[in-house]
Amino acid sequence: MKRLLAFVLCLMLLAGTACAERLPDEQLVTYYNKSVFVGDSLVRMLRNYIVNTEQKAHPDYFKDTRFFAEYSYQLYAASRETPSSSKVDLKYKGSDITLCKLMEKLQPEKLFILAGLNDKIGEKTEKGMEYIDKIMALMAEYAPDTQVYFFSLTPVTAKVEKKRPNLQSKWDAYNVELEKKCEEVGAIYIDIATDLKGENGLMKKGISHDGEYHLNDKGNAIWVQTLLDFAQSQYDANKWVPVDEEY
Amino acid sequence: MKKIVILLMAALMLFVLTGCGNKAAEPVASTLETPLIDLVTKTVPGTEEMANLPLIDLEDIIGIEASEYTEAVYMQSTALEGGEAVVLRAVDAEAAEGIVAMLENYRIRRCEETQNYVPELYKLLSETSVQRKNNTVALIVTEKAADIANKLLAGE
Repeated sequence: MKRLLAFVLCLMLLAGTACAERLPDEQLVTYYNKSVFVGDSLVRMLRNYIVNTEQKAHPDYFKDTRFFAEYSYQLYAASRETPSSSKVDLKYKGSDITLCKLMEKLQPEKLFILAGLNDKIGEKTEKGMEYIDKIMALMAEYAPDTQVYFFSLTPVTAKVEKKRPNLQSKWDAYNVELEKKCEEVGAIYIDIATDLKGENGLMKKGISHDGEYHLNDKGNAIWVQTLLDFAQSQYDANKWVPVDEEY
Repeated sequence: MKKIVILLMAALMLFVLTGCGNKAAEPVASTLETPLIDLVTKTVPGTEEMANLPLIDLEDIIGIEASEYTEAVYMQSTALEGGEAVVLRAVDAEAAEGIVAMLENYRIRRCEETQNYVPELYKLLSETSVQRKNNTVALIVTEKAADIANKLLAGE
């Protein structure tokens, strides 16, 4: 009898999971309210894509999300407490500012970071992990209530892989380490690479802006979809419930 | 007869010259009543591929507060190497002066950001400058930026 009850309970649980509702995109996108996205040129282009395309169809999308992105921004710069004299820093109200000091001012609920491409971090994974440790230590001091998320490195194109053989495999290895590190330090890892890859494990054809590292509108549309899917996964795992609001 | 012809020709010349003079003195139509977004999209090429950024970005990134202007447009290309247009109508002359300084600071920082990264954009940024006419200030980052800025500001 006990076994039968346990079996029925398991079936009910499974059924519950299988029938988990897919929330409307307008609700999923609210996962990113009161958030800040920080990063390099890819984040800048994502931001401009959202404003120029997504928000024309859906004015509320990411309306409560702020973006701070600089061309050539590095993970190294994100790990510093004071601005670097030699590397590009974030800008806030016209002045250079480090990530931790910016978060101290803004105190967002969530911080999403994409950086590492300009550090060539795939070729110095250990250094990358040190930077992550420093970022998390600074965030604990300056914005302890902010949940930190790290995006995976995005894939390279076949053109880049031809010029720099095995670069993608190095970036894949870095992403594996990044995911482990996130678990270790209490950050959340978001894999944006997989959806951007084709069958050959490199950036899909037709989604690159420059034929190398940057995404075009199609690529950024995939990134946005990945963000919505991630929000859904958080809902499915009972880690987030959307605030009931009008769209 | 000759004297009459000469007199007539002189009168004709005077008439023509006065006409040309009057045309040169004709004032440029004011554009102050035109919404800034319309003026920018009409004058600056490539704006159909530019994101019309929310004005919170003017404060967040450049440091220009909403209290300093009555109207503003901040557009940035969706392309990596594309240009941008930042145009504001300041509340007064003092605010306009402050905005000029902040936009110039922004331009310099964008140059630093792009110098070793996107040479095409760096070239546009390093060759342009902040322009001002009365209380309207413009930073245009495109090909032939000076001409476009002059045309945009002509009626301000």
